[in-house]
Amino acid sequence: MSPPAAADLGPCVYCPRLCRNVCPVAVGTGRESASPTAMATQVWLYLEGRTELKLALAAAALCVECGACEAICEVQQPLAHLLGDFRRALSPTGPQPLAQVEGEGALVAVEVDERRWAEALAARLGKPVARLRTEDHLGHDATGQPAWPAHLARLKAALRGRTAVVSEHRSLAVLTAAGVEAAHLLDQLGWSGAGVVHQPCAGPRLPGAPPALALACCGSRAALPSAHPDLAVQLAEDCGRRLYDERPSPEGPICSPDSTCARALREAGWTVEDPLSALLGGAEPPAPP
Amino acid sequence: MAIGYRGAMGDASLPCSTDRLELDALRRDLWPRQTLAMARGELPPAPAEVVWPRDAGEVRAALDRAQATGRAVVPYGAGSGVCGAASGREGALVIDLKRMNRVLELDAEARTVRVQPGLLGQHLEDWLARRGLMCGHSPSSIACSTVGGYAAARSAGQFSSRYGVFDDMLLAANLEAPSGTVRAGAWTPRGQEDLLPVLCGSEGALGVFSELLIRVVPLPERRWLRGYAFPNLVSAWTAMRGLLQAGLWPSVIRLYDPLDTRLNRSTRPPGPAATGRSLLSRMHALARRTPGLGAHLTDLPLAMPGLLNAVFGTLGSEVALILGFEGPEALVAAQVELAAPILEAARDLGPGPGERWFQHRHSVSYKLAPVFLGGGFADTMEVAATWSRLEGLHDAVRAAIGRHGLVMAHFSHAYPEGCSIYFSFAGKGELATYDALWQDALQAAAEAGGTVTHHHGVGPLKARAAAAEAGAAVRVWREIKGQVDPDGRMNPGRLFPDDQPEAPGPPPPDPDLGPVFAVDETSLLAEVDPAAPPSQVEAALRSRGLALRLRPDRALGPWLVAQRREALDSWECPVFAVQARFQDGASARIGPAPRSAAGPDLRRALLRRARAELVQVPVRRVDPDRPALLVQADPAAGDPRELRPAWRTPDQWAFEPDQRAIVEALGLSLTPASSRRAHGPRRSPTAPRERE
Repeated sequence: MSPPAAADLGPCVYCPRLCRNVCPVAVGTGRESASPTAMATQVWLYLEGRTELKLALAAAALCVECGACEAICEVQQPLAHLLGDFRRALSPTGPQPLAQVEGEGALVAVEVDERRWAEALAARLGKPVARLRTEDHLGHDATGQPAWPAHLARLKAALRGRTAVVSEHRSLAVLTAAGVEAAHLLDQLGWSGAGVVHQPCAGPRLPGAPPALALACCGSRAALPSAHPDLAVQLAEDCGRRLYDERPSPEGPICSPDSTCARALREAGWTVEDPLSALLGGAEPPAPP
Repeated sequence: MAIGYRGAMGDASLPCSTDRLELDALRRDLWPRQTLAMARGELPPAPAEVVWPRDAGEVRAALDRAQATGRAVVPYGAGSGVCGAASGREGALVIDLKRMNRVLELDAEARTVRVQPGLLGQHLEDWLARRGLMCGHSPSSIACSTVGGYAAARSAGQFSSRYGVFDDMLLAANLEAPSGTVRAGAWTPRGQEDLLPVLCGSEGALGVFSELLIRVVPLPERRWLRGYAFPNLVSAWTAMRGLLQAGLWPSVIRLYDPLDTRLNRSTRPPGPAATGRSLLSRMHALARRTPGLGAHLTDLPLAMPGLLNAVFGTLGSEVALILGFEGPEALVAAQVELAAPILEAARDLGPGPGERWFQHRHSVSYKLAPVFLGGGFADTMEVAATWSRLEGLHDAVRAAIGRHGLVMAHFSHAYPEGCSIYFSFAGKGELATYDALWQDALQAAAEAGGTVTHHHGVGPLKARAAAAEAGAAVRVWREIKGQVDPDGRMNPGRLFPDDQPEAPGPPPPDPDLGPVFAVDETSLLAEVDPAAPPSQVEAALRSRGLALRLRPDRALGPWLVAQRREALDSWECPVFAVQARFQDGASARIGPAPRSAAGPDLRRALLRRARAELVQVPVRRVDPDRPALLVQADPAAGDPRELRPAWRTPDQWAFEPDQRAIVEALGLSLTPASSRRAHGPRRSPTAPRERE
């Protein structure tokens, strides 16, 4: 993987920051450094030989790669991709080795943190569920790295003939890329958030969910949590505030279909419901809105 | 990397940083000179530290820190200023306001919203739109500019003819200054001078806005847009002036010069290549695919601007006007009906041009980057003048810019008394070319009797030109700055340079000419004696078939000083130029119409601090056969801000005879006398009037 050329970033460097209003990191943190233009400029300066790599990598790591800037850009600048490619090319981290699938069953619960929920899902569904543990969302952040095709092939082989069940969207994206049959936990549970919905930057929508609010990134994506942990928390605080302010009723909770996002929001102090928590809490799924 | 830490600077609660990643991002705003310098390998200086306050208390803590460390302070919003007011300053403390981005309170009944200054304009409009309201302030930078920035730079939006410029919408503000909190506008403590006109446009040189109270309006029930082609600029200007002086208030009145008209294909039927976006996208894609082509696409034409401007000058004179009305359905219909005879000379282009403009109204800034990528520079300059001086100003500034770059213009902020001109230009060369272009253009604007800036602010780009325009009135500014920022810590030297000699002022008006010294009938402005009783002024005006637009209850000088800022709306702008003399004999004349926005509005502050010699006020034409239509003031029938009577008192609203369709559309009841006298034949508002 090679980094982008300085000229690729030029349109963003000379742009009057026309996408800053849709960038959740720029808005949620309030930092000028987190505006897409500033991120691009710092990387551009490095590629022009005018600044240090560590600054450029720190700038690129501010991007959560949600793609909001690309969606709004009228000259079709792929900035999120450029920043992601730069970060992965200059600071390569390949996918972690795949763990063994544990247990029997046609369904495999993909567990991305310390919470173990294959058994709870099995009990809920009345059939065996295996588990696949991962600490890097099945290598999501290594997308496009040299080792990526082989990684996907291994993943496909490991899950051949089974259906992976995920509680968050990054693993789902990797499974989809690998051609593995996959389903979201919310589909298995029939769970439907009843409140204001946090719509992940990418991933499944809750059935019947109202349009997602803009600028509702929880800060848990890409390299932000590891490179800028304070800002990731700040982003989750801001995201929760926006969601909380827009609840359709004072009693309505914040709901997220993504267990990682929900956890980030909870750690920022917000009360959040998500399918995995509902499963593990043993609670009945909230009624549809 | 440690960024976003707290407490490292000695204050346990104030988020701050000295990290280079943070400081690098604050080196520049959007001043194209800095963009050009960056492209040539020069970076503007970085500040020394940055703080991110979340409320007024933390802004005060930041100012205390600056005092303790002896640093200059640069307030920073979204960095969208194009004149350099927020650009990097070595050793400075930057107060980045973007964490102060909350909507604090909406008062739907009073139609006001109280906000923090770091809220992006687009986010405010999104928030209001979900509640059926809007601010109506729509600069092309709306996605990347803050509400506090609008106040700091006296911004104007694309719908200014209907909703006013930002200082018309701003009802009150709190400003944290080194000497304490300044409460202004509607929040001015009783008995104190209202400093809101001076705070608005102060560009961070007095303090930091911490809260703003802004007027809001309902989302329009109907939006009507249409394009018209005129044979030339002069005929289009005549129509624009006719529309506005007839008491209509378009939401959009936007005229493109012949080159801009051609580039936008505004007078032709829409086609696949008709939008700027598709053309730009294709050029951009082509340049990206072809190594070296990007530079040549701009390199060759920009290297010979004189030739290019001459060639474009032969392409024809037809110009396009986009006209829009919005608001309640009946009001829109009435205005469309009243506008029709004024537009008789134009070719109707249908709704297409207006709708295309509306769809792409914020896209213009995407056109800048390709010019810089091609090795050139692009910039804009906005000036303004009365209608009587508009053509001279346009020709002079266009010629000055045209010596250095490719230039075109549009006219997008129009008022009954005049209009702004928005020049867009691109050049090829180094910083010296850029600087020479601006020097020539600013000089040409001043010599042609225009204001050197209309709504982009001042900054280091125009600081000397703005100071020259203000002349001795800069003393007023320095007095106020000395009170609120005694150590000169706030953004020093960027608004009015300290080392600039005072420009000589005008001689006193000839008293034998009073109480009306001069009348500009084209622009409907009169220069009058501010000490004369209104009855004398009215009598003198009436002999010329004119009358004061407003209804002062005492001599104009003291009446203007006593006016509460929030009592008047944008269309009621009560004063334009002010001329006054200080005790040492120095005089100043400021406020060349229309709506001078060269930094802070010093007119009322000058009237308070120096002996007024002359005020230039708006007047209206009167016709004894067709008197104004008088109706009882009836807020239940409609908000006067929506209805815009020609003048109003607490009990009575008066509409021009030509506004009859508006009165009828609103169902307002004429007073009996007015009803009997108001049925004269209707005619074009631009037709000559008989003298009363």
